[in-house]
Amino acid sequence: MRVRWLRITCRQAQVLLSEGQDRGLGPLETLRLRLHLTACDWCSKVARHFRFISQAVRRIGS
Amino acid sequence: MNAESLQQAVAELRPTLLRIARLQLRNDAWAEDAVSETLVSALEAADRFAGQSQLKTWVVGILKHKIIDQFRRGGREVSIEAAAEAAQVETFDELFTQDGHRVNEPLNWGDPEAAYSRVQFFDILQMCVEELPAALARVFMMREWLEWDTGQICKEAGISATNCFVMLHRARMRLRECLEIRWFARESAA
Repeated sequence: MRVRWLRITCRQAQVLLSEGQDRGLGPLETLRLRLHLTACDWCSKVARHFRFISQAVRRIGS
Repeated sequence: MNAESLQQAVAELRPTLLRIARLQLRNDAWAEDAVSETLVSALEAADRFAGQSQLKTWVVGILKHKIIDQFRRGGREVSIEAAAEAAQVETFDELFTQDGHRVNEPLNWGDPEAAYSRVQFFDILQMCVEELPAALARVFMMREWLEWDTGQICKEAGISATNCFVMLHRARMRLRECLEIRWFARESAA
């Protein structure tokens, strides 16, 4: 219960996953996201998918 | 490669360059201009092509510079469209429950890098980018293909950093869904 304030939803986690590719997340954002990802396989998949999309787009035309 | 065969090879790249330019610029006239300027620059600088990289990689490198020039010439139009797109609200409510958790489990994409060796994958990827609203696609491609940082994107597109992050998130969410439906679901069913 004490860590409830650290919890974020999948919707919030997926915003942070995207923003984490574009800016440095703050320490609290990083902690919240990490805690969420350790417990959420679904968002862990989305994290991998976002990274893959970024790498794939950079290959267009190469 | 002699001058004549280099000219021929550069000219043959035109359709590929045009598709990439359209994907980034989302304006046919701008794309035509950027590609024409690229072909002229490539032919003028042909003696500097040392053959150490692939010809296509070299020419696409020139195209990137021409696309940036084109963005700067069309700055006002790019800014107006980006501002209008940033004002759109997209909640992705269909993907999440009311308490913010996902409705459906995303597919397991397996080893997605294996798709790099499939030409059809890049056709699908480009189709998914083409389906994004123009301003969203421009901002996304500035970030991921031109590899600009968000400060540079904000300056060129005339949007705030917050709007930039929101637009990039929307583009990634849409592309993820599109690739899952158009490529990875079909691959796993095959």
